[in-house]
Amino acid sequence: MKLTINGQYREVAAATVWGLLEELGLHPQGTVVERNRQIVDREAFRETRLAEGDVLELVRLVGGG
Amino acid sequence: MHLARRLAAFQQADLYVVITEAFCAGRTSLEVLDQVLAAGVSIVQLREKDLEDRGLYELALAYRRRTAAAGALLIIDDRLDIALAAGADGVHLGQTDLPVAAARRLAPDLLIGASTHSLKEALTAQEAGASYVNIGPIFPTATKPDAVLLGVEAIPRIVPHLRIPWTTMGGINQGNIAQVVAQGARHPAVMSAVTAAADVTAAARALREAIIS
Repeated sequence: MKLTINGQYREVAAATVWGLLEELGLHPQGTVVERNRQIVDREAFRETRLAEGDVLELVRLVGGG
Repeated sequence: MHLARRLAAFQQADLYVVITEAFCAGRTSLEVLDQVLAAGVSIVQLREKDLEDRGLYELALAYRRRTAAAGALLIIDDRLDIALAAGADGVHLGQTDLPVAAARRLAPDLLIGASTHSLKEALTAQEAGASYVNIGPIFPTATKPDAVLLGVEAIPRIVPHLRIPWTTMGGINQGNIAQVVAQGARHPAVMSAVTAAADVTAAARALREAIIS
């Protein structure tokens, strides 16, 4: 399905937020996910299904402090 | 800016400094802001209850220029309109301010913080779409002399029920910050412990050290 991820149009195989993070090699614990302008709770990554045309913003937390 | 970016920046910040000119020991708010930013503080709240709108807006713009240059988040107390107009990163709402859900409808991309004083208030704010909640007041504070204190022991009663980040405030200073850090506080919030200090930058640095180390 086609999604917009951080402003870029992209074809992905994943069906859920969790699957998308795996596909992109991002750690769920270290990523803030916004889907269609709503923050997705980390506990809801597995059950949050993606839909064609979703707009996602994925922000990695960098280690520190 | 996307809320995700703001939330990530929030989660990576440490000390949260609230600035009210009346607690700046005779200095201007902007002088103190510069000294706070010089300490590497990356969340600042502008809290002025008594300024007229035009003055508050202009002060907020000056805060925005300085915080943006320093890479710090800017939160405006209470005033969603001023936060949006000045391009701030968020608004902080008290229990008698605009409800969180109403603010969220108007400002999908802003961090929305809520002052909460109990588990019930914290959960209500979380469900309404708050980005973070503040838990307090923890210790006695001259800023709110009549407030009912929660004490450090309130933190472990509330925090396990939260999915969102939290701050904690009320009388936190160099002498007691370790107690809230020991309860897992990653973003303790302070006002006069920094803004009324003789050396604002040194006070903020020392509190940051107590959180980070």
